[in-house]
This record gives sequence, structure tokens and C-alpha cells, in this order.
Amino acid sequence: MKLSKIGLIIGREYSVRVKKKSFILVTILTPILMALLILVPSLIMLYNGEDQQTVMIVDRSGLLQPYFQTNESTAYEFSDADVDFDRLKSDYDNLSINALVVVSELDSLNNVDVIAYSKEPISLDMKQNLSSTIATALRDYKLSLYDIENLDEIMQKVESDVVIDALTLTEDGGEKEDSVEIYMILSYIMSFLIYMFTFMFGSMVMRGVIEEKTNRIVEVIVSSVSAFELMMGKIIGVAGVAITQFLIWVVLTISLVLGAGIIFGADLLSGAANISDVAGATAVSASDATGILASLSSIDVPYILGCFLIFFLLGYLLYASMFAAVGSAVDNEADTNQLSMPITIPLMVGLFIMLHTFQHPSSTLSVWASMIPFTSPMVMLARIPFGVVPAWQLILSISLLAITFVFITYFSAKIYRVGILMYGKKASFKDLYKWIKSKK
Amino acid sequence: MNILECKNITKRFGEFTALDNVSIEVPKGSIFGLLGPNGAGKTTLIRIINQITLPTEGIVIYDGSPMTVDTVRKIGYLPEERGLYKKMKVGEQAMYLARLKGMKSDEAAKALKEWFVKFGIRSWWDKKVEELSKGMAQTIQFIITVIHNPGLLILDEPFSGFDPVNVQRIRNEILRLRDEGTTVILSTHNMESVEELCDNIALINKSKLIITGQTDEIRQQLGSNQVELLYTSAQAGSLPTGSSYEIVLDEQQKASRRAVLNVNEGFSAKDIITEVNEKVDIASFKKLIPRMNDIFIKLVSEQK
Repeated sequence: MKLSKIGLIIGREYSVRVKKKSFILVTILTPILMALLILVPSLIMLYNGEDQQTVMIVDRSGLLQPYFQTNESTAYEFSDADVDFDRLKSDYDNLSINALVVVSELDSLNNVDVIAYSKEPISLDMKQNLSSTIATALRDYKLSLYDIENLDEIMQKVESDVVIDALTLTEDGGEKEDSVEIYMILSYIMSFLIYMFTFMFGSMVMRGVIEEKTNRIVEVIVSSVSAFELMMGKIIGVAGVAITQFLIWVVLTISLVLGAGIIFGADLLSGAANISDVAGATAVSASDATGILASLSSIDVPYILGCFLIFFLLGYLLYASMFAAVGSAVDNEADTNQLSMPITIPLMVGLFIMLHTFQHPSSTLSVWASMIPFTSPMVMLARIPFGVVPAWQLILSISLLAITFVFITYFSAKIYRVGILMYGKKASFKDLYKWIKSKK
Repeated sequence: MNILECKNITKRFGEFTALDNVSIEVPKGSIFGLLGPNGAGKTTLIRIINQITLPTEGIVIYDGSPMTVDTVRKIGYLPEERGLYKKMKVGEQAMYLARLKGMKSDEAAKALKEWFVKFGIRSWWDKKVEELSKGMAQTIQFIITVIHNPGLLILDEPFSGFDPVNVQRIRNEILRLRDEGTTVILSTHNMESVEELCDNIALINKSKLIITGQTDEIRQQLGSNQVELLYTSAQAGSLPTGSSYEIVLDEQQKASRRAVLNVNEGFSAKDIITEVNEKVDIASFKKLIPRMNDIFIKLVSEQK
């Protein structure tokens, strides 16, 4: 194998692709989109929070006034309990309020009915706030009916505040701040990226092979270099494109988000952290945001990034040679569907298992699937952010992946070698098997 | 001296035998015609010479020693199925392919410039291949094939897709390269080019070598003993029969009549001239050497 020739091929495959307009556009626009996706909701939250809402309460129970204190987000106005409610309602527009709340008189069980009127639907926050405050007022009133001595003191003693401080024991016996939500998000993003990149750039290899075949340039090239050199040159060149794109994305997204943070102030970033809570599909109260920010700093970025690159590269190499073999066996892209099934199915299975793994990173299924080479890139990356992967599993998984890659590439190269010189014939799986068995 | 020898080449793909014990010898500095109908096994033989595939049995010897991956670099190969990267610029692509052949960047650039100037196509350098016509692309492909001064040139249907002017230009280039010492293997269905260019030929049909040798010798050997006579006669009638010949064809042409005669056993062309001269006025008389086209058709159909 001539290294200089492989170098030439890699260089061509790389430069042709990174010079394409579509590549440049996607590479630059994606981080901008990502940054917008992160920033816009928090911008909205930020500015929404500045408007003070006004709520008018008609309190026929006569219990509530001490409990509703005007604060930054909401101003409370109490009107007379015996006001003419219908008039008030018809006069709603002139009152310049956001909601009109009517609380009924106490019934026989000392409960009340509450109705809130508004032009625009009242926010979930306000609804929760109203109901919990009214419930507190009722509870206090009911308790007071029992005539218990030192009630206030008793209440203070009874009440307790439970905060769970989740810490994960690390292997070396230490402990670290834990925030499962952030790990889940990372886990999901990482393994989805691996899936997406493997698919995207594997198909890119396949299209490249088909292009060379339909352009009829392949025979000119294999009279200068071996088919294997051509295949590997293409696979490595495209891997370079993938890594270039990934690194540009990471750098651009981070600098865009940080840049926006500097311009709009740090509030924006904690706002962004809030959004990620919601994305984590777990209800986390806003006060946890600072905890999440703290645990963000506990994430071992070089370790995760390193694992990502290793598993992406190995997984991509494993699949890319199969994509190349499929490309060599057909004359146009439309014919690839059937032949690419053995590639797409394991990839999809990996993706489905990952959807389980990012919630149960240490289940038996997760552990096994992170060892089996065809699913391991995706599933392992879903486990890694949780820090639950022992070193021996990591090493075993990487070794299995590397060995399988060598095997698969050996067979793919055999198919490729025959396939690229077969014109005008759509190959079946039987043909591919024959090609594997054939000698050069 | 032979620059290339293929000895007892057999190639099997599973059950199918693409080449059956084929041996050819290509003398250095000659043009060698590799002939055969479609599917005969020519492309397989060419790919074996190029080391793109390996023979099941047999050996290829280049310049005295077995062909290796390194000696393949001394071959320039223009495949029948050929093309270029459509989206790449002509110059960039030519540089890439020249460097894949092992040329250094600066020498590739220099050689390419020379060829582009010679063919008057310098303005194509920065064009994309998809902007070129088929003939233009073929020209580029020819240049790329010969750019590294190969000792052996293998051209598979080099004239297809060219207009007559360009066919002539490529022919002249092939002859010039031959005169400068390059050996050329020419695979083509264009029998006129074979007659005009090839010093030696090999004819392959149904995986087997049918005949190989010097073009002229083969044409003589396989010629049936025929002569062609152009004549006019006072009676304006057809040629009378004679003892030394048998009339195969006798037809009126514009100014004269044309007859094709078989030379009878025991007689020679000279005897016919003497005999015919008494009966008609001879305008022209020549021994018929069969055209390659006829030989090709005869040999291929005989095998069926």
C-alpha cells in the first residue's frame, strides 16, 4: 500500500466535500439554529417575567386578604365582598387587570368555590399560586377552629423542609454532585449525534462510490491504485469531513451561546438551564437550576468528548465500509434500499436501545448492547455521561468494535473490489456472497 | 524483443470461464491489436494485464519479469468504460490523476501544460468537466492516459465518441508515441484502424485465442486466392469464361466493369493476366488481400 497515494485520495475526498456550498451552509447554519433554539425560549422567559400581572379578588369568604401579598410578578387588588359582580364583569376592560377571581362564601364544610375570569387564559403558574394560597388560608382557618393552644408554635415545629441532595459514589470512594437531568440530556444528544453522523457520513461514502461508478472513473483510478486503497481513502477522507463539521459545530455553538450570554447578561444562561430542565422531561423546580449549573461543571468534558470521538470514529468506520460495499453493488442510489437493510437495521436497533438506555444506563440490556459492536457506539455514548461505565467495559467495548471493524472491512473490501467494475447489473445478496468468496 | 508476454492465462469466475489458456506476445515498440466480439474476454485480459484482477492460472511478464503492482505504473490504461469526476475542474482533476500515477506535482503540472497547449485546450483548465462535450472529455482522458510517459499503452476503444478530425489527431498521436518507442495495445472494433495501425493482432472469441501474429501475414494466409480485375471490353459485355479462373463476381461500374476471380488450381495470377488480356482491355489488376473485417467475421462465425 502506497501511503502517498492514499494521502492523495484522502485529500481529494476531503477537499471536494468541504469546498461544497451545501457543506459550508450546513456547517455554519446549524450552530446558529442550535443557539437560537437554546436562546430564544429563555429570552422569551426573561422578558415575560418583567410584566407585573394584576389580579382582582372578590373575597366573599373574608379570609384571604392577609395571604395575598403583592410581589414582583403579581399585584393583588381586593374589592368589596358585596360588590355587584355583574357590573364588575361588564366593566372588566376598564379595570386594567389580568384576571378577576371570585371566591365564594364558606360552605358547610368550610370549603369555597373559586372562579377566575380573564380575557387571556391565565398562566399555569398563576393558577397554581392561587390554589395553593387559598388552600393554605383555608387550612389555617380550619385548624384555628379546633382551638388548640400554641397552635403557631406547633405548626412551626411540625413543618419540615426536605431537600434531596443527590450524590453519586465514584469508584475511588469519593462522591460527586449529581444531576441526573443534565446527564440524560447529554446522553441523549451524544448518542443521537453518533447515530446521525454515522448515517449521514456513511451515506456520503455510499453516494461517493456510486458517483465514481456511474461516472465511469473508477476503472481509471483502480489502474493506478488498488480498490482497497481507493475505498479506505474515501472512508478516511469523509471521516475528516465529519470531524471538521463536528468540531466547527461545537466551537460555534458554544461561542454563540456564550457570546449571547455576555450581551444579554448571565440571566439568560440560567434561563437556558431552566429550558433544559423542561427538555429533560422531568419537572424540576426553578431553584434547582443553580444546582444544574453547578453539576454542569462537574461533567468531565474531555473524557466525554474523547469517548465521543473514539466511538464515533470506530462506529463510522464499521458502517462506512458496509455503505461502500453497498454503493459498489448498485448503479444508482434508488437501488440501494434492499441492500442497505443489513446496515440500517442494526443502526435503528441501536437507536431504540439508546432510548431505553438514557433512562436506565445500567440495565442488563444497556450493558450488553453497549458491548455488541453494531449497537455499542450509540448505546455506550448514552451510558458514558452518567459515569456508570467501568474501565474494563469501556476497553472491552472499544476492542470488540475495532476487531469487528477489521473483519467487516475485509469482507466489504472484497465486495467493493468486484462491485465497482460491474456495470448495468443490480446485485442480489447471493451475488455479494459470491463476490466475497471470489479471488481477486 | 517482447515487452509483454501473457502465458497460458486462464480466468474463471465461479463456473464461468472468461479466458481459457490465452497466450499473447507483444513486441516492444509495436502496435498490437486485441480483437474479438463483445463478451469474448478482451476486457478481462486487459484487466489482468493491469493487475486489476489476477488470473486463475498463468502469468503476465512485463519487460522480462513478472508483472507487479509497481510495474503497473509503467502502463497507461484507457478503459472502454471511462469517465471523469463531473463536478471537478479539468486541471485539478488531471493533476490528481497524474499524481495517482506517481508523478510529482511540478512535473505533472509541466507535462499537462504541454499537452494542453499542444491540443489547443488551455482554456479548459478551469472548466468543470460537466461543461465539456463528450469529445472534449475523451480528449482529456487520452491526455491523462499518456501523461506519465508509459512504456505500454492499453487503449480500449480509444476512438469512440470522437469526430473524424479528432480520430485523426488521436491516430497521429498513437503513431507518434509508437515511433518514440511506446508499445500500444489497441482493443477496437474499428477494423480500418486495425489495418492502418496494428503491426500484430490477436483475436479472441468465446474465451479462447483464435489467432495471433503479424497483421500482414494473417491477411495473406487467410486470403482465399482471389484477384480483382477492372476492365472495359469492346463488346460491352461480360467477361468470357477462361481456363485459369472462375468468375465470382462480374458487375458494371461507372466507367468500367469489375470482376472478382478465383485463381484455379495449377494456375497463377500471371496466367490470368495473359488469358484475360486477349479478351478485354485491363484497366487495373490486383491480388485481393482480405480486409480485417472479413477475416474477423469469418473466424468468429466459423467457431459457431
